[in-house]
Amino acid sequence: MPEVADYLKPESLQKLARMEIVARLVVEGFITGMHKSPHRGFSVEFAEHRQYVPGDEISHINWKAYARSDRYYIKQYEEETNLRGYILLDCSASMGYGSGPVNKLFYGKCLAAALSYLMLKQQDSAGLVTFDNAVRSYVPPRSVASHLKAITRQIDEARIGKETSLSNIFHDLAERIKRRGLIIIISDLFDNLKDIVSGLSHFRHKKHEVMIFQVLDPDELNFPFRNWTMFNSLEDDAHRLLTEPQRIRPAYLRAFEEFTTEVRRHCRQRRIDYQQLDTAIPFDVALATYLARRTGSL
Amino acid sequence: MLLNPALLLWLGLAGAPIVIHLLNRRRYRTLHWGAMQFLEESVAKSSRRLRLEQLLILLLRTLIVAFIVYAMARPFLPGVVPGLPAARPKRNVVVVLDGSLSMRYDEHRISTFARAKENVANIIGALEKGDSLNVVVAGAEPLPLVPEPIVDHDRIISVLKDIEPGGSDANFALAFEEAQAQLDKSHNPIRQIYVVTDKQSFGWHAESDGHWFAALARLQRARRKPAVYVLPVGAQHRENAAVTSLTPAHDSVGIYQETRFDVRVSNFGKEDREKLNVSFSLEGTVEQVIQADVPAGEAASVSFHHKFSEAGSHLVRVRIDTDALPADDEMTTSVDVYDAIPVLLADGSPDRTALTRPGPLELALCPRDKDHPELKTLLAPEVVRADEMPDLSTSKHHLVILHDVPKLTHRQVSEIEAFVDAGGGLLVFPGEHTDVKSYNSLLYRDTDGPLPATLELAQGTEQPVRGMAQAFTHPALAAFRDPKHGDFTLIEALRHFKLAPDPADEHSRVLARLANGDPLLVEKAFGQGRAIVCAVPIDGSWTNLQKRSFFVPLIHYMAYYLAGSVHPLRNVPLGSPISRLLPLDSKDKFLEVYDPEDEMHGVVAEEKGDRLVATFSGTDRPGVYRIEEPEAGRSTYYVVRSPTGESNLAALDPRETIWIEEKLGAVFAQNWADLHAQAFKESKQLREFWQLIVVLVIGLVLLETFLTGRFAKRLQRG
Repeated sequence: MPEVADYLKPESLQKLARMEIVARLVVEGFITGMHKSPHRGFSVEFAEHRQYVPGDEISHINWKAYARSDRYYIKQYEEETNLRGYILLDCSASMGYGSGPVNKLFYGKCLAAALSYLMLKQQDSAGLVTFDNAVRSYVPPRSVASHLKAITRQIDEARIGKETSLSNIFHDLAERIKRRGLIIIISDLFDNLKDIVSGLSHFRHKKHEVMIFQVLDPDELNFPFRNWTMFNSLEDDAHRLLTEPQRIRPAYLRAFEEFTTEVRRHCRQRRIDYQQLDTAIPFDVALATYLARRTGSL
Repeated sequence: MLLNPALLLWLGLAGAPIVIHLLNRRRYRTLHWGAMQFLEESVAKSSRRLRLEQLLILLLRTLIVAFIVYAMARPFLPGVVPGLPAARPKRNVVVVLDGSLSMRYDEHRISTFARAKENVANIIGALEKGDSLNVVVAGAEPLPLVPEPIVDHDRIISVLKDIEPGGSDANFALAFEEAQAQLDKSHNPIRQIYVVTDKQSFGWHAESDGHWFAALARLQRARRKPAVYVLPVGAQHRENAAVTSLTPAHDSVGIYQETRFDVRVSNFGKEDREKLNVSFSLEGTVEQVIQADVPAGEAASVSFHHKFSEAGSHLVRVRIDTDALPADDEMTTSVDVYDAIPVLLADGSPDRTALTRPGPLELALCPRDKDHPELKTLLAPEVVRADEMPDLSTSKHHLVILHDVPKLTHRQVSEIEAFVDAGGGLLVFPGEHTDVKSYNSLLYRDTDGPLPATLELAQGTEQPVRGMAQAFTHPALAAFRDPKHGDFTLIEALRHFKLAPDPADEHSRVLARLANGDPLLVEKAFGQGRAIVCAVPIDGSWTNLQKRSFFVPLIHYMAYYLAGSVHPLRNVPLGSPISRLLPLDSKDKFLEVYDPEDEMHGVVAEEKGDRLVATFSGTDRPGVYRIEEPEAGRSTYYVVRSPTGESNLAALDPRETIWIEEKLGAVFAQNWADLHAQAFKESKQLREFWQLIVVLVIGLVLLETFLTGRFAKRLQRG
């Protein structure tokens, strides 16, 4: 029987059918590993009172305040005070690459499920957007625990899509999401760097906090191929390239490194959290990054 | 210009690096890939440089292979080029050395073969380092001195030292074929065959396309035809006399019987040989010497008579005065002498059925004179009734006589057939009681049976038919060529059978006829044996034959003739196997064969049919072989003979020479000096420069290694 902590490893989740279960197993495994409750410090806390209006739950009336001021006040601490998290999951075709037991999309889905579970568990609101070159699904953020089902259902249904168009999506979402929140982007970021940066800037401009999990495959990081290979683009069937990989490896690694360095630099400038993940890295790294950010943002 | 232009065909190999490169490109794997943007960028940046590097490496590798092939093709420049080593294209030489018996001819105490070896040494001496060489000794079978041409000439010389001519003829067609096969085993560009011979015509079989078929076909197929030089050695004219034949008058020789040995002495020279001593010796002891005059180019016949007093295997040798070729001055023959020849006489006459007294035939076979045992004939008849014939497959009889036997059963016919087929004799006298139909259908069987002719009773005449006077040549009747010894016209036949041999049957022939033209005696060779049928029985009411004085000799000669096939043969040509037949119950299963050098070889007797057969095939030397049966303490002599044609030293005539020149493209040299001038005349002014190309190739290999390493390092460094 696998230990709960084992589910932090991506490959061990493959056989699980539903992302809801994945999310629970990952987060419980993560929490067990932390040996302390994640609720402390940023759990349910009182924020403010607002005047009662007909239709509000009577049980929510603060009777002490009524005694002091003779007015009905409702205690507000859930929605208003807690984080609104938007998880943006990239489902473009390039996310379908996987050299090991799991591909990037699966890794991203697990990560999205785990993050949403973690957020809901902390009474934060969690929402989900899946996209490729357009938004494919949208689950608005809620904080009720039962919302996890709605999110994971969408995650389950997410399929490999078409080519990427990150900047369009980012601009679109930046406009759509009115209330400021935490934008968590799970993507390989295989797109034009300028466009990505402009999309991210838009989010920041709208006062959103942004976290980026760049999910990559070990092959993309190391380029270990040797013999003659025909590279067929996952996003464009007509796009193919025959080459001797070992000869272009240095140039490839250099180009890749330049790209990630640039991404990192832009993120730093815009105070965006950036975490590069490869599909062999256990989920706790991502979760810990998130928690650190969550703590810092409160 | 190239010494090995054919090797340029391998230039195609130079394309190998390109083909390997293209094959690698074709054998790519397909990968569905996400991060295309980085790939494109990298390919765009590196492809131009990579392509240049690849092209450079491919070019280097192609050049390396091409230059290696070019160097192997041995390029050269004509004329003197300073700084380049002088060279001559390497030779691929096969010397065919005549190893026939005639090469033993002595001339001033030096044999022709020794002179030939000197000339071979001259040829080898004229070769240069790196020339490949082999020597094929031409005998009945060609013998290469080493399995394939080698460049170690000293080794050939040392092997050649111990080679002596054999006792056979030289089969030049086979030797030439072998020489070509040897040439094909070496790649040196100049292909030469030297034939060193005494130029004796015998063995060349010139003008016989059939004999040379395989060798000429190979020559036709050859891409590069060899240059063929014939170097004659020895004197132009050579005198030689030889014993060319020695045969006993009868194959069956009996003890106390006077046996005649016919000897033929041939003079192949141009000078008459007068008073040539011809000695006859038995088991090494000279018994008689006769002097004979043999005119030049002719032969003389001499006869010796001898009575053997001991049964068994004997050696008879005839020798003439030794000349320059002693090997053919004597001839030996092995003779089996019998003390008795068992004969089975099946008699069907009614008055003989009781077998109370001997009939005329039995008396003729074995005149009974107990007082004079030396007059005892060789024939030992066993008389049986027609219906009591023993099983012939196990009997020891040499001859079966059927006299007036009415009918033969199927079993008897098949036994008789097997008996004759295995070398036995059959003498048939049809008579009063003979069932003609049965004989014709079973024993003649449309020429398939041993009976030489069909039988049909001739119409009786009032006047008896006489025998016909003939000049008999057949060995069984040769004695009656002179009517003094037996006048066949004195034979009278009142009745006779019309014998009708099939004229198309080449195995049967009429030996004697009656005056009306009907055959009297017809013979047929059947398997290894022979059969004779007579048109009349030995019966007074048919003929007066038994009353004639030559009746007994006639019966004896026919009996000796028929019983005399000694099988297996005791005197065989060189290379033919010799064998000994033994009864199944013989204790001698392991026989010893002694060759002419008295070296012992073991032979195992194997069961074949109803007897044991021991066969020895190593008769590659002429001379006397002896098979000993240790248990029985019996020796049997066998004589392996050289072909007598070797004694005729006549040289190739102009027509034969022209045929050889045309068919083989051969050049006949006068002597060594002439040969040297013709065969070794080519210029030494060629300048080969493959060494320079090898240096270039080494340079290219080093450059390729350096560049490959450098490019790889750059890849690793990124």
